[in-house]
Amino acid sequence: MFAQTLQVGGFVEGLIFAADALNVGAATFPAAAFVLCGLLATGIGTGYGATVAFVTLFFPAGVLIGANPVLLFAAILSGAVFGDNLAPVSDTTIVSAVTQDADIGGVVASRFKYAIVAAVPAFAAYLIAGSVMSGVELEGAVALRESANALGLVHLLSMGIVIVTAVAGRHIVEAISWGLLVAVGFNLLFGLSSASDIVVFTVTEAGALSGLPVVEVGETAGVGGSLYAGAVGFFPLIVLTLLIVAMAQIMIRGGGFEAIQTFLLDRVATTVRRAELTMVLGTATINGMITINTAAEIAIAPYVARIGEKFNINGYRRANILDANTSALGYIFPWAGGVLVGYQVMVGPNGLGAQYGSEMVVNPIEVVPYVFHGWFLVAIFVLAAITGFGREYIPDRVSEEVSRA
Amino acid sequence: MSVFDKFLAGWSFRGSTPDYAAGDVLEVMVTGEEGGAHVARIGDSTLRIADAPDDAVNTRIVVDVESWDDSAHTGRATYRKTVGESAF
Repeated sequence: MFAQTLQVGGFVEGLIFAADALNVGAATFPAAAFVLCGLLATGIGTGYGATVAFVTLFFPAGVLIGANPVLLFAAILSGAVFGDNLAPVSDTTIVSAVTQDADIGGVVASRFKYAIVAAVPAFAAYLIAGSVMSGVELEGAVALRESANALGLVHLLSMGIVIVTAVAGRHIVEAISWGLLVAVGFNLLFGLSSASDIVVFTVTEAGALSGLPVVEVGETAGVGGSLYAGAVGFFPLIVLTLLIVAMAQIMIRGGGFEAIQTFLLDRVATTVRRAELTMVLGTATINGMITINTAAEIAIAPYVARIGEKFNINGYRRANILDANTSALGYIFPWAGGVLVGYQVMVGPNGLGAQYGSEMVVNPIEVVPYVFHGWFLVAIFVLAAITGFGREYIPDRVSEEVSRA
Repeated sequence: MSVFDKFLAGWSFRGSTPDYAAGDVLEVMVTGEEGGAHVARIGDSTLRIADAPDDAVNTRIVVDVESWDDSAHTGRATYRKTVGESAF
């Protein structure tokens, strides 16, 4: 709803203006999107939310100025991985910390080294790939580029309010609600959109209320506008999420996971290096299979704890192994929730495909190799398990009090 | 530990056989039993613990290290107190 309201408020046109003004060209747009999406996701703590916002708002702006759509979508997903992994208010960060008996602040500080070691080469890779991979020709792109409007940039403030409110510790629903209120205010105050662009009730016959700006007379009664379209586009995904979480619970209760744990402890995780590799690859496998990364993280967390404790591996280290793969692989494969929410923005009702044409829709399978930060993060942890980079044992330091609030 | 120290912790390559010294006081997870004694496996090093409660496996305890063999990466310690249990 928030992202859709910013879109009808001319934010894309504002970004096109800013990209032209700052000379951010097609080649550098994916790298910029990676950094900005990473900052937003770190601020608001939800990689899914950041993906939706950036695919709705930054993605069309980037494609219109000539960036490669596949690379740009992958860069946005990489930013979401970064934020999901590092944000203190991210659900995956919180789950990783509390399931390994570690405090959230300490976990975030201890994982910074892995995140930055993966992010620097990922940024470079987007700069290089951006200069190599060409964009697409869009019918009407020139006309849309000419629609650039600096006023749309006021919505940077709307997004800023969401970030600041979320970082200040308010619940993400409250933070987005404040952002939404400000965005609606800006739209109406600066004439960026009409009230009926935001919410509209269509009636078949004129009546006492038909003079209101949010009531229109049409052939079919109904509800529309950005608030409605933004929400209704995600109902199919909500149902899919519920079904997948149910499937994971059936797998756990069927005893399959317990059998795997016994096998791993007895036969595979026989040294600390092999134990850490087992944790890394096991977490990666489960997260690669289960669409919703928080559900996958909850499923694998007990095994990471038990295998790690058998070698006195510190809770911070265990939490970092758990969350890195959870964050990374939740945004790479075509069935991953992070990819699906972005894809839904492209193909949903009034989606980017409907608005701009099929060139604005990316096949999810194509982005797999280009989610550089996700792949680098997995690689960093495989190397860390082999070399001992960042390894800490329980006697090294004790976690501060664990907050489950 | 300061916030700055928390960010710097772990910027190193840690071996698989950590060593300790007599007189160290450690918090460890008791990982099993061998030959009637409790043991805490720390990486690929092993600490044998005397006087731990019977149900000490999978609990976090504080121990006094009595002796340590750097070449074999094994040591002996005495139970002091229980401070926690397994995360699961």
